[in-house]
Amino acid sequence: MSNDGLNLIIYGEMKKPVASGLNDFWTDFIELQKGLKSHGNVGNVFVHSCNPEYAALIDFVYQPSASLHEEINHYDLGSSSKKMSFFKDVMSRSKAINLAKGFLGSLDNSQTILISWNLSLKGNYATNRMVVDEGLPPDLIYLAYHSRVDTGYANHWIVAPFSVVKIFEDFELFCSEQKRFFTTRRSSLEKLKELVALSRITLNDRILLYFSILAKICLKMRNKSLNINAFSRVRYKIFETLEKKIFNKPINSNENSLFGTLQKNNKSEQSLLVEPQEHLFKRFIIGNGLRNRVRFLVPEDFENNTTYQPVLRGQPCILFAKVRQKPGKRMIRELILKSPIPIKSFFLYGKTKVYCFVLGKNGVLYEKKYISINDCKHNLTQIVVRIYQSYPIDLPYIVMRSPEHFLGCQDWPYFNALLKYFVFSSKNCVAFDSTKTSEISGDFPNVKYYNKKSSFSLESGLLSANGIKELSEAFSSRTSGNNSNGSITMSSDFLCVEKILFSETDET
Amino acid sequence: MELDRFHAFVKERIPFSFIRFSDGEVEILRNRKLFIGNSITEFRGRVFNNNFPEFDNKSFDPTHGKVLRKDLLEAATFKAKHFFKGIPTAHNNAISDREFLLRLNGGRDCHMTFSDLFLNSNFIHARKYFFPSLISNFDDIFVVGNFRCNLSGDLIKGSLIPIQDNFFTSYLKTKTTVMSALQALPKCCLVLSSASSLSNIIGKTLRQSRPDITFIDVGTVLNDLLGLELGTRDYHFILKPKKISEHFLAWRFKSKKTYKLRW
Repeated sequence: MSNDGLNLIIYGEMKKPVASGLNDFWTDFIELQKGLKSHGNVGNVFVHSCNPEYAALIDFVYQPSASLHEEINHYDLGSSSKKMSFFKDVMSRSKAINLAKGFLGSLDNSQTILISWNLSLKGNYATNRMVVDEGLPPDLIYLAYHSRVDTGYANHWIVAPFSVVKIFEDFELFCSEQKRFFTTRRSSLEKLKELVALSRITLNDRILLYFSILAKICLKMRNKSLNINAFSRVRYKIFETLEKKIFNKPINSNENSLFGTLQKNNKSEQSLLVEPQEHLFKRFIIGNGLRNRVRFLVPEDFENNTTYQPVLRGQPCILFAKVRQKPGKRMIRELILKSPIPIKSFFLYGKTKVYCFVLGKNGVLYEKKYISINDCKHNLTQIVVRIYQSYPIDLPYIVMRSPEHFLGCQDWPYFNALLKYFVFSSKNCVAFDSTKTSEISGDFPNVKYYNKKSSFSLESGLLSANGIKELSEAFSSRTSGNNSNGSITMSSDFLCVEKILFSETDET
Repeated sequence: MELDRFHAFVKERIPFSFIRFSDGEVEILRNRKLFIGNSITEFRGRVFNNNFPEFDNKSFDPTHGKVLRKDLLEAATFKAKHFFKGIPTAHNNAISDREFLLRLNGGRDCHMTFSDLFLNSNFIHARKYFFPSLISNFDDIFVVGNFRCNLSGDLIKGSLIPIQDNFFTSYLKTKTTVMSALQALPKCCLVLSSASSLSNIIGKTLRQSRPDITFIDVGTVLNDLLGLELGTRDYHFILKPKKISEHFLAWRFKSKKTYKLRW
């Protein structure tokens, strides 16, 4: 158990029944890592998912301190998949919190992120991107801000101290008590009454609320007035004048709702009536006396100027790169320090030797050895095979043109996800070659499949132990391996990353 | 309206605090680089000339100013009874900043007001009526300001708690020194602070530890009484214009759209 850093609690449905492939899962993992950029220190991860069939994948990628994967089918809410999905999320969240409670015990004040699977696919732009900043006071509750904040709070992600997070476990009970929200059909008048009743709790100045409703009606009326005849033009002008007078001078409610932005947002944002789950969540917050601790954030609030990109649960691997000079321990230390991915061994090859640096479990360099490659005639495949024969380590090999090229990675979160995907799906080879094109998309973002007849350059790519074995066998039987132009042909399918992942300015 | 409220607090001997977030503080909160010095201002990625005096110099670098920013964020998110926060508003053309600070406050409440509360269209009223009345109601007055300050006029009986130029470079040391001086102040005194972003931080800390003290971030409103240069801000010209050019500048400032405070 880690006592440092943020706790991360992930819950919900990892894969919807309608979704094909796992592209969303990997995109979500990449986005989550990027969201943690300004607060990269994640301690414990707790996971609950409604997809037991993906338990092994989730546990491998997130390496949680505790996890539970089970199907949830307790609520009978008719055929609405939206309602079902919401209740699944709520139940899963409670179970995930319970899991964390059992594990964390007394560590009550550690800051915790509650986040649902596939966050980037939920809600809208304002609510589906997590905002975390290490400068923010850890004792407050941070929620996504949206223009319907007067009537409901977004809760696809929540950042709060663990003592508060524990309270959210009861949200499931609260929701089941309020089931009428989901099961009964309410009239617009009833919804409006609820809206006003709820707003009264938080609005001191009720006039502002009525004024805002009136303003929204005016905007709708203006939009309905088409510029087709004189009467319509006059009507349009009247409502446009009203709109300018009202909307160009944005009004704040006590919930900080900037109604003036409504015009820019999409239609779903303009809805007067909030999503029932957001409405319930707001009532829950107020009912538990937490409103005073709530602060709202949007993705544009803070700038992140750091170039460092932390990764979540970095995948250990081996670096294989070409060097011009004899590498020393200092260079290795620098590589370890600058690489967000944990490198367990370094094999740096020059013209005649491979310099081998193998790290122990505690990260201390314990072996430094030279292997002669005079007889390899600069054949990269042969050098890789020679190294593997000397050090048969079952970790992914990152093959790079130089260590600088490796450190010039443009997207470490993506690279870490790719490494995990590579290991978990037992792939043999990945080429970082953005010039190749293929029609067959993989189930990982920006990755395409190539059949065994294609050739590619091994100057930068990934090789698994099996991939090296395959190369070795192919090389000895001369059925594949190095071609005359320096490229190699694999005897099995391989993958190609179609985005520029490593900077080309490595020759420093 | 807020000035009347503050005035009522003073009359009823209710201690209160007022801190103000102007565009510089917003830049720090948003984690953007800020530089004011050598007659240039680097602000929101743009560089332009300024005529600010040396004591107005400041520089914030996101990589080195993490502690300062953390404290400023605490001040921006802090809420307490009789703790007022001034924020940029519509007349500053800063609606997005207003919204940002309201979000950090958790919404709008009666403690949120204008950062220009004592400035622009309120400047004359604040200087002629509010501050003289405020100062006359306190026996013990302390001013946190630049070491060059030489208190005069209504503030002649006040004591200075000095801070250096561009305290950003030695933030923690300056904060500790100022806070230890403030903690030792007599009960129910008045603290006027003209210390840039430090005012927000010490104002919040003082509200927590010494709620008996009335704390007001005065910015550059009382520059002439602090013995500092007057005329570095537009609104200074409307106080006592003497030359024809100053009358013109005052008239021009008053006729600007930004003169009247608007939420």
